[in-house]
Amino acid sequence: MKMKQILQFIIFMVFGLVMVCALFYLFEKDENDETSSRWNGFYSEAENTIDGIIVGASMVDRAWAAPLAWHEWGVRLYPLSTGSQPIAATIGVIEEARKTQNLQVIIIDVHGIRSSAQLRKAKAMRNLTDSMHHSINRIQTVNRIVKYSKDYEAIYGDTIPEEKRSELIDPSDFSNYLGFLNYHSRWESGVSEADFTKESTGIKGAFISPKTSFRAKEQEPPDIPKEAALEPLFQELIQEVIDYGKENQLNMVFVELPSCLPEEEYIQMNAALQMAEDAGFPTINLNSDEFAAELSINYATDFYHSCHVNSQGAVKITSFLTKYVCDHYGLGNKPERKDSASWDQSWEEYKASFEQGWEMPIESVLSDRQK
Amino acid sequence: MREELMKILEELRPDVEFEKEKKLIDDGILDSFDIVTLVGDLNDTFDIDINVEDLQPENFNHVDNMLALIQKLQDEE
Amino acid sequence: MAFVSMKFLFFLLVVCSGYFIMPMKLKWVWLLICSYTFYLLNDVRAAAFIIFTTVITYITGRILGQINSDQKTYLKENKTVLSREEKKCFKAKNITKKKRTLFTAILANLGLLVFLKYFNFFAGNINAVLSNLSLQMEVPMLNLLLPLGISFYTLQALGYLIDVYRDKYEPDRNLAKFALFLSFFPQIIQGPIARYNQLAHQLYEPHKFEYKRVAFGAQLILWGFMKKLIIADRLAPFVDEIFNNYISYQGITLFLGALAYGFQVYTDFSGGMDIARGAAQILGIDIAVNFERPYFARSISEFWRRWHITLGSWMKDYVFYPLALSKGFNKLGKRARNIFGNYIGKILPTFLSMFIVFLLVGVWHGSSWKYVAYGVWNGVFISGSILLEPVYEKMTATLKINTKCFSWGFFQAIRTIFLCSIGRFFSRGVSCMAALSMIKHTFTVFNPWVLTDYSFYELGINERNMIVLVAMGLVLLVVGIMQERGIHIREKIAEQNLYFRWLVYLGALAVLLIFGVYGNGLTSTVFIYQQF
Repeated sequence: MKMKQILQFIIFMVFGLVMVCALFYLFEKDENDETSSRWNGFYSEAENTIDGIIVGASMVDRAWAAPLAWHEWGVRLYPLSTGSQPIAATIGVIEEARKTQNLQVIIIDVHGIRSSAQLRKAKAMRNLTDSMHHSINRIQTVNRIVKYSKDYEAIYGDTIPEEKRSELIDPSDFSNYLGFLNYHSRWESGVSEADFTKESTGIKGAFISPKTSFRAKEQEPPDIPKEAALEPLFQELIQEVIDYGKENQLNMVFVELPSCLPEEEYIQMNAALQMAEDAGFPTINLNSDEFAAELSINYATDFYHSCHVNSQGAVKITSFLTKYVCDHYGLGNKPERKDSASWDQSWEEYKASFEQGWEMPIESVLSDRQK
Repeated sequence: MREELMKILEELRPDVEFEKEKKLIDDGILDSFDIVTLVGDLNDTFDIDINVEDLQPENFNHVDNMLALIQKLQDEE
Repeated sequence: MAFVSMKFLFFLLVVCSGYFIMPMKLKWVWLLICSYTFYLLNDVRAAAFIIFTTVITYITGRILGQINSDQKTYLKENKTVLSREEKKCFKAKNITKKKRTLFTAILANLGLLVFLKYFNFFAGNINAVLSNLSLQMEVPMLNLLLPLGISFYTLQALGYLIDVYRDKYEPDRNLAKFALFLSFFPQIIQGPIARYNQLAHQLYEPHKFEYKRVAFGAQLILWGFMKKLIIADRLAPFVDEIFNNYISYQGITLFLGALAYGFQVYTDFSGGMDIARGAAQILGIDIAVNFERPYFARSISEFWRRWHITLGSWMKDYVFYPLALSKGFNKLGKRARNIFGNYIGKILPTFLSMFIVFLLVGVWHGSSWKYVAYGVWNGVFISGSILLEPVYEKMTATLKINTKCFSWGFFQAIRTIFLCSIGRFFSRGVSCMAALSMIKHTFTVFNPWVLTDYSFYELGINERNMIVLVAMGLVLLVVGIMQERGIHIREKIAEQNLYFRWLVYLGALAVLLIFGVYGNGLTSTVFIYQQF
């Protein structure tokens, strides 16, 4: 083969590779999705400018108003949560965050440990892993979730109803690693501007949706039982996270966000919190009477769903937890922080959305609380 | 012999110019039905026995090839 | 391992890299190893069968070759000594010996194929008869596995044997090399059925890396992938919906299903062929073309000369000619001439042989009554066209139809596609009865509104996918027209400017990646089931 041919071939392959990478970049998970914008926002934050993260499933991003934490306490806590995020993904998420940020505190919500949340749907995993940048950690996160999914099926396979089977994770599906194999068919529904620009959230990952953030549906306050019991497989999950935290000397705080669920779910979450406490990690159960007064969650106005709060609830929870974090980890209200502009801007936007949605000033919720 | 052969060929496929064509088989000008009919006619007319092994393109591509085949088979008798 | 998969591409990469690295003398050994690896990866248990066929065929070939060469030597040495009669007698004895040997081998190989493929079919039918006669006996159905490629390599082996019998060439003297001939991996899944004198030497001769040839092979593989993933798999949900639920549909909808299947199976099969040919081309081996724009055919006969060409050609050389030129048929023809006249007498051997060939072609496709029906359908049309040829000529003359113009050719092509589509009811229908029912309901109900009310967009291909289908279909049409005119597409592109070439190759890859039907994304299949 002549030199000219070899050169031509190499250049051709380079062009081909560039084209293929461009296609992979474009045909990812729908960027109009709020999960994507939250992760894009996280990646766009400058290095070592975030103080901590809060990790968990959908109740986390409903309950977290990062702009408020910044405005009230000067603390930057970013929510890295996705709908139905499996606990098995927690380590991967934290790893990803630690790549670029020096985390002072990591808040982990334990709602993901409930039996009802354990059905490992492929879509749930993809929501998270497809939002992450391609890296070894992403591959490892997928592997961890897939392994857990296999273990789960081995033990609980019989309990999965037929019609749900098609939604389960397929371990042999290579598109778990390369989203393009799945998402290329989006040519049909259309590839929008957001897929080109990879838009970021303007409100630091806070969840504002006209349908749910400004609605209230009265809930029954939960009956929190004293028992604590957790199946061995799920215990392993929590233990893994605990071990990871210890190994890397991380300041992890295990919380149970406010919710109104059946008794047996709290039995499991109690056990999870207990395990964390036994290992020496602080735990905060926001459903217990201990914090009820300070938190002043109103079951008539703060929820739109049994385990999801609206933005009023978010404001209360964020304010409370951020204060805790400041008191215990010495964070907050330091002068002269880098990149304050985007955080200040996010507060303006969040405040504006909140006040437009509720038609009342955001301060009124906060002043309500400090009774 | 050539005249008889030409008569048979022209009757079989009046649209083909047998003198000119050099690749009757290779170019698919004569198809399998033509061949079978032709073989039957040749067997009858020249009292020979063309069998399947003889159905090679080189024996039928041109009139001259066919003449050679007929000659060979007649000599073998 | 299916052709259209990442696994196969990776396998191919390994095979080709290894091939070009291997020393000249060992290249064919590498191909043999790879072919058997490929076979075992697909079908471990069945390897015994292909080995059986290989060994039997090889030995028989050697025996036949020996008889042939002995005969030649003997006759040459004793040319002047023996009389004509003695020579004839000697030859006749040898022919008997050869026939017996050949027959044994055919029985072994073909018998194996027939047994594995058709035993359950026969058993099922016998049982049906027995139960109708209220007899308590039953032939047990066996759990027989059909080895990969048995329908292909068996025919390939038999062709070789018959050629050696006919002294067309010397038999292979190397069992390992011969094993490669029968198991060459690009051909093993779905053909083409190769001829020994065309393929074998190519396999055994070493081929060096040659950039242009390798590039052409890769391009052909890309083209095959495109045909399969963009068209065939896109048509699949629609075809499946119609054929698997045929009771819910009638009239033109049913016909559209058959028509769509015709295109699906064409792009699927010929796409696979392209991948096989491309893979072989990279290795420097030319394997036979199996499709030549079948939908441009002007008659069913011509269709079968353009569709699955190697099967038709195999049938022609090893079934049709032997039958049509046999003494038995000859006698039949003569008797027919006496009874029915000259014309019938002349064409009867051809007519009958053709019918038998197509019956075999039909049955070769699978063991079910619908395939018998498929064979009969094709046989009737082709034999019929032989019979009715003078009638057609008279008709077109009386109606003053110009048979040389484009519009007539176009009409013939459309007519052929129409007739072929009816045949598809048999090859895709879930059973013979289903096929017949579908045909009946196609013609007893006239519902042209099905074409105009867009209701077929609910059946598995929505508008956007239809646009992709039509666009790719047009590309295929243009390529077909160019090929029909003798233009070699890859050469033609290679002659163009660098930037244009690269645009074409990368553009094709992008189109394949984006529009190919693969992965678990939201596809049309999901749309059908979402309605239920």
